[in-house]
Amino acid sequence: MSSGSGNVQNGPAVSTSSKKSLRVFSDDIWKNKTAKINAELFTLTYGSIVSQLCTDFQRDFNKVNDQLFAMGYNIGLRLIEDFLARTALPRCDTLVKTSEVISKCAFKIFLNMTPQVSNWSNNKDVFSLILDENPLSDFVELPMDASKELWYSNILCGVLKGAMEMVQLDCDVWFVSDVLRGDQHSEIRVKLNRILKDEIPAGED
Amino acid sequence: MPCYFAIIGSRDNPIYEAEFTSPHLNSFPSELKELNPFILHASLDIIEDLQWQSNPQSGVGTNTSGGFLRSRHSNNNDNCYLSKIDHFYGLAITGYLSYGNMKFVMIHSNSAGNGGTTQIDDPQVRAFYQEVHELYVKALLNPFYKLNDPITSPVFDSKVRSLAKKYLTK
Amino acid sequence: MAIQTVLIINKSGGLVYQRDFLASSTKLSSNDYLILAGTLQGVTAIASQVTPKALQISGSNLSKAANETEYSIPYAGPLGVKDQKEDMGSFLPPDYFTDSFASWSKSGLKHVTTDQFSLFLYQSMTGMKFVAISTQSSTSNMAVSFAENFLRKAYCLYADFVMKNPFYEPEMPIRCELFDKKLTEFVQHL
Repeated sequence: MSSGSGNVQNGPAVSTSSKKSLRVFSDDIWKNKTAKINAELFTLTYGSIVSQLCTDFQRDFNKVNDQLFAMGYNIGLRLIEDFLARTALPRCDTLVKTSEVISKCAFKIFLNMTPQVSNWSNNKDVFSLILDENPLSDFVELPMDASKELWYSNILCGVLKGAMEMVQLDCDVWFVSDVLRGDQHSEIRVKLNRILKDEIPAGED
Repeated sequence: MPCYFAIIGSRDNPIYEAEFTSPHLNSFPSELKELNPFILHASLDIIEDLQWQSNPQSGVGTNTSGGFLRSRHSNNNDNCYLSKIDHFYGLAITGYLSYGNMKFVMIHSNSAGNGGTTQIDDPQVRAFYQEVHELYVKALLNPFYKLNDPITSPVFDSKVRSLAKKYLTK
Repeated sequence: MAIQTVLIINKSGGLVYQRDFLASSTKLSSNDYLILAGTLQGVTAIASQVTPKALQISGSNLSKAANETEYSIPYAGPLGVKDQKEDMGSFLPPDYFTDSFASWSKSGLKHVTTDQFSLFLYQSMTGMKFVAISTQSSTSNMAVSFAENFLRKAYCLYADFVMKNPFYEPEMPIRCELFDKKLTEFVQHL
């Protein structure tokens, strides 16, 4: 299980030919098609990676953030294939639909959670994902020196970035708040820079 | 009654300590306060003796659920609680031993502070230890906490104190 | 329909995987396969360009529903999946998917048929192309959707055993024994 992400140039909305809602469609995949592991094992594995990175980078948390992002990016590049193979959702035609697919489908399938999509910019190219819960950061308390700099779950941003790039959406993804830092909720901001039209595979209109 | 509580790591290093008092109770006399850590450490030997007995609580006689060296098939942690293990001039010392060899120990003094014998309310104290044990396990799951390091988390501290209020210094 | 060859072509048109499943009489040299991969890539692009503009416009004007049915591939049954206990990587049995699904390539090349063989092509949204060459000439819609089902399952195997192999570098030729093994099993149980 790992975090996942998204889809596509302005992502797919309703599942393919069958007229099931995206939510039912994703629920089904999560329940019936996805092999699962113990949540503590997952959480502790991620935790030990982050804390080891903090040690390795001599507690330079900006470097740790970058490293987590880079790791996530590489995961995203690969994970998108899994996501597409599982769902075969068609291409989304607006970023609004993409955001729905990310929250209701990708997060659901890979992390069994459904972040809320909100805070749209006026021209609909920037949105926020509000994470009510975060399986990566169960049990975690940030050490004092890290609480202003470290984005503990920064790997998620990398995954989103990598996965969206593979479906020709050039995005910036970053954390703006995190409950671990004492904020009200955890919020990931996603900004669409441009659609990589040249790289869209031939055959899609 | 005021209490002095400490968690001792597997290398006999203190990793957490706290004193539980409340406004309407006497606190420890200051000269005793400084002695508390020593008193606790003196009782560690007793815990280690009890640890390898097949039935550490036989002396207490209240519980016959078997010794610390229990079968791996039993999943209760009743016998982590060692009840009263030592006393020191009217202070009672209780202990609790986790399976990871972390020692939870506490000095109870009687509320009168007059050197009379201190009575231990076993069910309450046991409940306190068990909940602290759970808190400790959660703290251990924090990736930034290393085994046998001092626990500095203010959240842990405040939770332990509220447990103490609930069970001990009512 | 017996699968003779499976090819995987990356998004820039390079051949990253080729495997024969039958001892066929016609063996292509590896260079020929590379050329074939490049040609398919080019033809796919051309095919989408020669799609009449009128069709493209009317296609996008049609209601969503009509669009979806038009490009939807029905589920063709378990195909090469043996039984419920089979290890399916990160997918739970009994099958990789059980729904009809949309094809990502609407105006691209999908199949080529001669009297001797058929070639089917399935394209993922990331631009990966999965190609199957079968030993008989089949033009029926059923054969096409059967092939798309087969190739999407091959895509599932690829997602699991190639992309999740931490030592595989994306876009590079695939040399993963596990993937070979799984794909062979899959083809042989068709």
